[in-house]
Order: sequence, then C-alpha cells, then structure tokens
Amino acid sequence: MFVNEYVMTRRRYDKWATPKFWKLPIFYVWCLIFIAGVFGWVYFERVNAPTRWQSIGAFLTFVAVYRGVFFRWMHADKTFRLTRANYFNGKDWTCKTIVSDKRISLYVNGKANNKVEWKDILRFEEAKSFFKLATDEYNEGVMLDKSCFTEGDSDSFRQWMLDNHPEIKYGPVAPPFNK
Amino acid sequence: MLLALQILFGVLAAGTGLGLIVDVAKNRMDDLRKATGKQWASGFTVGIIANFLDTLGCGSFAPSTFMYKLFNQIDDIDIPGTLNVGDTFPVIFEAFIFTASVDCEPMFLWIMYICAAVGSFGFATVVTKWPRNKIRYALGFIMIPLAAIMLCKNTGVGPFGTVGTLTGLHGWKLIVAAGLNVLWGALMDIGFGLYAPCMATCLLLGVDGTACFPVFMGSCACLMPACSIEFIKKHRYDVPHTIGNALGGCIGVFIAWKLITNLPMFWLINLICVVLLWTSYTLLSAAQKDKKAGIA
Repeated sequence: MFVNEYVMTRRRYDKWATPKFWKLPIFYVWCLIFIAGVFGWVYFERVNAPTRWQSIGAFLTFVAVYRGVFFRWMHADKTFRLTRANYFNGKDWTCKTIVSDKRISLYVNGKANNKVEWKDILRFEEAKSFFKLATDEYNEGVMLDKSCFTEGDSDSFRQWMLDNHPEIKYGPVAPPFNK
Repeated sequence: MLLALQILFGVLAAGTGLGLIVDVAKNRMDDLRKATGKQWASGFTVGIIANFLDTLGCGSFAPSTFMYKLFNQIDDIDIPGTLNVGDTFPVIFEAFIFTASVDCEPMFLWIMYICAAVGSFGFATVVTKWPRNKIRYALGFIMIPLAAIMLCKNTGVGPFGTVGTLTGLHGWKLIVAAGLNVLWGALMDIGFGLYAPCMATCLLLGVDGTACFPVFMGSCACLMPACSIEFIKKHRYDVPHTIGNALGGCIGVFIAWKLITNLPMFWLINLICVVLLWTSYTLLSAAQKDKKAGIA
C-alpha cells in the first residue's frame, strides 16, 4: 500500500494544470497570428488605412497573446480560486491518496471523496515531480506528488505499478506538462 | 472585396473552436448520424433568431432557452452546454466582422479587451460573494435613466449634449471605461451580460454608436470559450443543435450586421435605447422572481 498526501496550494494547482505554453504545438500557430497581427497593425498605420484595418491587426495580436500565452494559466488559476472559495472556505485543502491492491481511495481534508477502480485507469504517466494515473484522454486523473509519499516512495511506487499493473500503459507525461 | 475579406476573417476566427470539431469527429459521430431533420431545423432556427438578437445587444441565452423548450427537441440537461458551445462561433464571428467593418481605435480596443479578461479571471472569487439580486436591481434601475439620457442626446433635448462621434477614448474617459469594463467582465461570472452595460458606458463617454459594437463584442468573445471547453470535455451538449446553432448563428449575425451598419445613426441610437430598456426589464424581472422564490 502507498499513501501520498499533500496540501493543494494555488502554486501546486497552477503548476499541474497549466502546460508550458511554448511546448504546445498550437503556440506556434498563435505566434504566426501574432506576427500577422503586428505586421498588419504597423503596415496599415504607415499607409494611413482606415482604423478598422489597424483594428484587425490589434484584434489578432490581442487574441494571439491572450489565447497563446495567458489563457490556460488564467483559466486554471480562476478554477482553483473558485473551488477554494466555494468548497473549502477560502483555504487550501489537503489531498490524501491511498493506493492499494484493490482500488485507489481519495480523501479531501480527511474525508472520503472518491474511489477509483484500477479498470478505470488508462495510463500511468510520470513527470519530473509527480505521477499521474490518467482516467481520460484529457488532463484528468489521480495526481501523486513524488516528494509527498508518507508510505512508500516514488521509486518503489513506480516499480510496484510496473510489476502489478502491466496492463496499464506506462510512459512520460505529455511534454508541456512535464514539470 | 472588403466584404469577402471580412467574412473570411470572421470564419477563420470562428474556426478557433477546434475542440468541438475534434470532439465530434472522435466521440460523437453516432449522435451526428442519428440526428433528425427536426433537430437540425430547431438548432438552425434558434441560432439565426437568437444570434440576430444577440448582435443587437439583447443577449442570446434567454431567447434560445425559450425556443429550445418550445420546440422540445433537446434534453434540458444539454441546453447550457449547447448554448455555450453553439454560441461561441457566432460570438467570435460577430466580434470579428464588426472589428473589421467599424472604425474603432486599436489601442482602445486592446485596453477594453484586457480589462474584460482581467475582470472575468481576476475578480471571479470576489464577485461570487456579492448579492446577485441587489446588483440586478441596481443595474436594472440605472439602465432606465441611461436610456432616457441617450434618447435626449439623440433628439437634442435637455442639457446632455449630443451623441458622441469618437472612435476611441483617452485620458480620464479611458480610465473610467477601462475600470467599468473590469467590473462588467467580473459580473459575467455571476451571470450578468456584458453587452448592455458596456454599450451604455461607451455611449455615455462619447463613443460613436457603431464603434461601441466591436468593443463589447470583442470583450465578450475573449471570455466565452472558457466555459465551452468544460462542456465539450464532459460531452454535455447536443450535437445537431450545437452545429445548427453555430451555423444558423453566423447567418443571424450577418443579417444583424448588415442592419446595424446600414442603419442611420439616429435610428441606431434609438434601437440601442430599446435594448437598454429591455435589459433593464429582464434584470428587474429576474430579481423580482428570485426575491419571490426567496433567493438572495
């Protein structure tokens, strides 16, 4: 059995939920849009085109910077702050995960919160500072901080997973989330 | 040529909703195949009418919900997701074609968009603690004199001066508009539409009637996709209605855009006053309804 326990702080949540934007393929699309926007804005200003044309450039630059760089972080940060305010009385919350042979039990602030069956785990992913037992194709799953094992440790957990659950695909977490 | 470019920009911008396309292709093809003609017709019709009204500033969620319930072709639980996802495309489309067709200073737009985003993302936890009904009453009551002042300005009656012709704001006016847009952006988190208050703010500070449209549409467009992602992830939207709504919505936006950009300024301001009064009515009636139900 392994026990992993940590306090979910704003910093931890933002770190886990927000990808490194420069490692996302879509970032380069936003870069192109940004360049097109800046070029359009400057060019239309130089040739004294109507402001509507300059506005198109401004709109593109804004959308590129906002969506390409800030949006995911802002969204994650807002989600964390709203969750903390609405469900935890404005305080950070403690997450405890007990990994046993039968299932994975999750506790929030000492109370049972959820149980996950092994059949629901699709992938076992490893990042620099955490493990993720992914439950769907999106960024959902059970998160275990490598430095927060109170029973067992990260190396023995990895080995245990590989020995006991070979059916669960093991691999690195997606590069943008590898923190 | 200009029209073709504007439409092209709009379609490209609306195409940013790649999440929907990917999700439908990967997970929802069965729903798409099973869709009936009635469902498509319902989504398409609702999209046209609701987004036509939305472009005028009346909002689309209330009329869409009313019509979906009337046509009875969609499960109630899927309505919020369908509205959020389906309206994302027309909202981005309308923001773009108005930006591309109305003269408005780029820096003014930039500042207003940033403020709306900062308000929505930065102050969400603050406004969720505010009393929703009291804000409804305050905004609802303030819209009435604002509409009256705009009517007076438009007809040249009283001491309010004439309607503005600015394409952007500077100095203290910009600071006031930006500060209020932070507030309007934040209030979106507790269900207040941004269009009417943002439109009123710009008009009263002297912005030209048509130049207000890219300001509030862009402010809203940059906030909307956040909710859609969650609904797409959870598959909590109806596929034919969402796609119908998105396609019909773009057509509705186009019709309204033609109307607004071709309407003489006098009638446009009058139309805006009607929208402000309508918004006031919807806010006050919602507040009254919640008060009767004992909801603060």
